[in-house]
Amino acid sequence: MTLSSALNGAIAGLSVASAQISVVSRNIANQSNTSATRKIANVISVDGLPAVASISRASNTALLGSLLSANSNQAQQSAISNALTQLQSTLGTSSSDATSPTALMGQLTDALQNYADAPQNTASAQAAVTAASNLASSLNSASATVQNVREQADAGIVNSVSTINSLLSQFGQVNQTVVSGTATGADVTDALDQRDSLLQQLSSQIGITTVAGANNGLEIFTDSGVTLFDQTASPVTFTPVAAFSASTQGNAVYADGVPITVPGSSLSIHSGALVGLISVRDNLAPTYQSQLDQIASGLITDFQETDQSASPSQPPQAGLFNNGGSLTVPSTGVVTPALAAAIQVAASATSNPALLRDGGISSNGAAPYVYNPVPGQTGYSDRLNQLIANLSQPLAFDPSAGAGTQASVTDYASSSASWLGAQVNQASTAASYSTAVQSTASTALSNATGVNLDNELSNMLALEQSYQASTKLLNTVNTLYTSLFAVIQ
Amino acid sequence: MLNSVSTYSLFAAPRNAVSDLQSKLTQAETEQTTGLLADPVQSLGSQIGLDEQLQSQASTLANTQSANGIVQTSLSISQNALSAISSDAQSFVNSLVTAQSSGDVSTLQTQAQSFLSSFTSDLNTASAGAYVFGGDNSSVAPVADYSGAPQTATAAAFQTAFGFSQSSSQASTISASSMQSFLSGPFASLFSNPSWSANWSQASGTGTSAVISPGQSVPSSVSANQSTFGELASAYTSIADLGINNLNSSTQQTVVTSALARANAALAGISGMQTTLGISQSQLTNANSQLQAQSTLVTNWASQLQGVDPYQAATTLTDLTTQIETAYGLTNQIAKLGLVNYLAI
Repeated sequence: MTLSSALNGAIAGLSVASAQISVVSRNIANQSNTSATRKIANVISVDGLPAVASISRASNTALLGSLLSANSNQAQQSAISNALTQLQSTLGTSSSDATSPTALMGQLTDALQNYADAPQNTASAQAAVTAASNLASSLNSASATVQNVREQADAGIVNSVSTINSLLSQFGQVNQTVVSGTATGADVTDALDQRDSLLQQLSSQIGITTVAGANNGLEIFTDSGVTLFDQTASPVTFTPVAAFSASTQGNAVYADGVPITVPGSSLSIHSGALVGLISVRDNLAPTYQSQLDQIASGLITDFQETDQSASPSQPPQAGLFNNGGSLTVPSTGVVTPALAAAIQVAASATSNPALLRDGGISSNGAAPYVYNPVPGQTGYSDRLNQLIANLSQPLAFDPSAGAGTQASVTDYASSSASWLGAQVNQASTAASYSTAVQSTASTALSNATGVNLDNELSNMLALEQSYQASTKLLNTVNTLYTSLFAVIQ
Repeated sequence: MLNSVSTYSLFAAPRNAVSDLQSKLTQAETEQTTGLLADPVQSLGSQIGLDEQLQSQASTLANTQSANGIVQTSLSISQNALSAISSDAQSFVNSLVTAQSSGDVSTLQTQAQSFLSSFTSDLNTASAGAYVFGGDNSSVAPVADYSGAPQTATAAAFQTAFGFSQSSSQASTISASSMQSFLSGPFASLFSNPSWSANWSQASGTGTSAVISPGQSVPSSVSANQSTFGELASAYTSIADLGINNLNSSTQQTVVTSALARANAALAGISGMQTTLGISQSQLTNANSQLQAQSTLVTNWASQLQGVDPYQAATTLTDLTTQIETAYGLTNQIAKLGLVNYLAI
């Protein structure tokens, strides 16, 4: 052992300590950056002297994987929950404002009842027709809300797809940096962090799995196994629909040339915002629309007018409510698409409300659809009482609409509300559960790979000590050399 | 193993808790102030349909009760008119009985004329723009004034039967038996259909009915077409407009006897109508108290679904406030808790 080797040791100590302090300061600087991980200076011994061989980072693939899947679920549930909140507005937001179809049907029944008890009263007639108009326009606006929700979901899919494509192209660049950096032994920890962050963003849009390749490279697949990134990004494509009506079908999303959003297909993705949006657009909203259409169909049926002549030969015609002016009564038990958007109160009833009492709304007061044996006699209330009774008569409804098959139109409207309530309740439970899971996964990953300020500071204290010790050593060696040189002189 | 915590999650924990607690706090505040669920659709889930139905049912029950008020009013008005008609008829019967025993018919004609006019005005009673005795044809006064078509019809029938008018001096020659056959023949047919509807009544049908509770319908009026009214009208007319003062005394007695019989029959008929409407009135009262009881049940049920226990809401609010305060305190404590605060640099 010589003084010069002691000098080399002290210098090596200084350089290792300063390199480590630089890592500590990098960690402290990135403390509030959620995507940055804790960096570690790997110190090795070369010829008995310490040296920083490389910088690595704290990582946990398992925790990252569970965060990715938690992200996907959370984004999916929140997309559904948000859409349902909008649909929920069709039921009225609080108990005080009665704007739901059920409440408005109740108001129509009340108005008809008042009119039946004073059939000579034109104000009551007017009130009944107004109640009917309110009901029709509430169905129109509910239907518009549903289609608006579908349109927004479609627009959401466009955004999601373009986000996915942009994230995939960024991923390509970063992944390239990682692969080439790893090959040349450069510090790729920042690129790795950035790549993990891109994966997290991507997982919100679409459920993904990753497979490690050579030189730290990654391949990305959807959770159904379709390639999203392998050396290069596979394009994800989607054609939006310009305007939605009840009979409009939305398009599927394609990745790598195959549809990934077709229900029942083995290639269909299972999670992510895309799945939530697709299920709102193609499943939830259309089902609710069918229920609204069935309510409209039930109303037209209940208020239809039949041939009143002694030997009836004419078909029934739509009375107070009709399908956008058409006199055809929709067939019961089958959904007629977009009926809720088109239902309206007959123009003849608006201009002559007394037709509600006498019948003949469909024929504008002409036989054989007039019920009052002597039209114009104001004490006639049988037709009104019949209409009130019709509202509680059971009708057949389409089982595919999911709100029952045999019920009166008022009961059907309330079971439709219950259906929506159950969906809202379920979605909100699922959303808060998946948010909790996501938050737990995110905390676990942050704890495993994030920076603890106190740890870094205590590391820094140790490094400071070691640096000071090395300088002391230098000083001592220097003193020794000085003494040696003094002896020589 | 050594559990480590990243500084980020250390600070994030109370922060996330506060934002979650604050959103719960706004809900609790709404529930505390309104006493109702803040978000009924989400809280009730599949029961929201039931809730809506109950609310709509409660409003329909209340509305049916108030609509029954309209029926109740028109029933009372019908009853008043029937009482007036019945008491007039009773006085008329009394006068007839007196005249029958005394043989003096001189005052009868004037009395009968005035009874006839109040009879037609009673039958033309209206309530809220509807003539209560009009049946379905409630917008037209059901009975015409006697001086119009009814008088012409009576005169024509008399002329046809006897060949001269009521005021003719020949009237005294009418025998009791020919008067009897006139009264039970051509004269009686003036007061039954089709003549009754042609000359006297504009009413339609035999009366109206009203639905007073789901599935329960009661007669709500009687129409002027009821044969009882024709009978009473014929009793009045026979005294008022057959020129009774011109007849010989035995024929006068025939007319009086016949009028008495008809008036008595009419009295019985009116009391039958009063009973019918009276039953409707009591059914209506029963229906209303039943509706009231039902309404209370439905309202209670709805408020059980929608309502929030005010004590529980207040406790939740206090709980949440305490938790938020704790989270704030914690954030402050954690901020102080750092090695950097203890390093003398």
